[in-house]
Amino acid sequence: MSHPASRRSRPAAIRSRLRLVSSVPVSSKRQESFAWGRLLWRLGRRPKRALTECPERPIGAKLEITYACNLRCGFCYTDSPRRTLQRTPELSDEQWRVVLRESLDLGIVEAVVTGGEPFLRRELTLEAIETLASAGVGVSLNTNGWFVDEEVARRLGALRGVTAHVSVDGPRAGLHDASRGVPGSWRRAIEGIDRLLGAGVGVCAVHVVTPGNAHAVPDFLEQMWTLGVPWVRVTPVVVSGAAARGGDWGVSREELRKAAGEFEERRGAAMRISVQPGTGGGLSLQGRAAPGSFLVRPNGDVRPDSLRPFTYGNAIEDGVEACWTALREGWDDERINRWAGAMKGPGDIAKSGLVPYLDDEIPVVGGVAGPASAKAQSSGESGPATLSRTDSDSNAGGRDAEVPAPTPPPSVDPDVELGEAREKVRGLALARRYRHTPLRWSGSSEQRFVRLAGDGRYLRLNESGSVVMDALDGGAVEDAAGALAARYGLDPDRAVADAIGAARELLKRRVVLAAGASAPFPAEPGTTDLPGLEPAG
Amino acid sequence: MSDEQTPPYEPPSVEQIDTDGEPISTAAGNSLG
Repeated sequence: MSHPASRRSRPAAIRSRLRLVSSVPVSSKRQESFAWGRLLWRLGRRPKRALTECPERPIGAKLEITYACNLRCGFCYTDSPRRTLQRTPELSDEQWRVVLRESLDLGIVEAVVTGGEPFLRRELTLEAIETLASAGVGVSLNTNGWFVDEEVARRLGALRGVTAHVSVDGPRAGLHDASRGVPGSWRRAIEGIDRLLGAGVGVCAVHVVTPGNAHAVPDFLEQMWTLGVPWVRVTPVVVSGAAARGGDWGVSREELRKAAGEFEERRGAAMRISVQPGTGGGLSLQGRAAPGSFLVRPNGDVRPDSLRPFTYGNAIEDGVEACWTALREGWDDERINRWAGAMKGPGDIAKSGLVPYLDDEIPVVGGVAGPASAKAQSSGESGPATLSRTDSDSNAGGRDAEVPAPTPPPSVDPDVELGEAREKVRGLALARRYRHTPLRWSGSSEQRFVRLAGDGRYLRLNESGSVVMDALDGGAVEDAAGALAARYGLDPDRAVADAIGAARELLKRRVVLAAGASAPFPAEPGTTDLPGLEPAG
Repeated sequence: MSDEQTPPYEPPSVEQIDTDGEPISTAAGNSLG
């Protein structure tokens, strides 16, 4: 069967406007790049997953659905609060549908749907995820969770291959809300995660660690374990966008790794923990790697990724395929290499004269780049009311732009607040119902043998594990805790902790799944983000 | 419930069995008793 991309082609007149602004022949540059890449591989100086050549067809796409965000994070790597204030125009719903169609035609297998906060364009975001997932594309959604209601959770839960990456910056509201600049955002994130888990959606909680919240990472891991989150990513601040305006963002990666290690010693490996490096010393290498994917900005401009602020045409004006061709032919540009080569340490991005998401991007080809290209329309059909046409003030870069002030959380006793947060998380976890996946079981009261119909694997449960399994055949974790306490005379807290742990293990082993899930099997683990791209902001 | 009626408690455990191609009922280490 021919690849969909081979059946269609952009008119030559449109493709020809994307000319490389380079005096070096493309073919020799690519060969040189390949040889250089092989040498770097041998020397171990390329990022582990980096490509040495740009593939003929893109592997993935990162779609920044909107500039706007309802939160006010001082470290936002996309500088979304500033964009929200500026009301920067962006593609219409219909234009995004064209981008989606053309991206699928090019054959992508994974996608990141992100913003800003993508659910500020709720229907468009849901439609985009449904379109991608229905075509078999693995989708990572970046969201702050605020707008994740029952309908959003249900629609996402009906899809396969969707992982929601939800930002949670601490074990209690005071820490998270101080980071995010809007009181109430921790509660909304936690409740959003609970709804997603209840609908069977794969969830990754993303913790951006700052000097102000780093001390609470161990408590955060415990909270996420209790809540039932299968995967946590802990990441230092990416010093681009708003974070590059100033501030002390440095945290010890060793301390984060230590916290993760101690947690795993205590709780085992039932919760996956990724400690990310942030952006710093690796940029000089990552920034020179061949892109396997492309990124579409809210105005349609196409970049290699979140790191490199260089554009290769506009997805609407030029077409996605032509932009990808321009990217393939022009990614190894000496200006980009010079820029990336100067990034030796974490502070170098902020010192650069060209900061991603803070300064206007530089067009490598075409010349249509800029945060508010003329062809971008009002966010239109489903966009937030705050996004109307104001083209005049949005093309001046972000260095000296006005940014909305964060609202500090109310002053509270941290210990009291942490206690209340623990109770809230525990209550949500205990109330979540599960059901069995398709399976059969046999054995004795001492040990139970389970055969999973989905993949034919066999499991062995001890007696108390069987008690929990029986309780979770339509029941809640609270029922499982009650059954353990009644049978073994356990202290209620011990029964709750063991029931939560066992429910996690049974879910991970695919014996149970959330009662609200529409799929017959639990969600597959998803991807983090596309190579070279950054975590949820 | 008296001590005699309360079974000894071991925390719940769930382990995957690698049968190495054998039927589960005869795979090494498994006892249905």
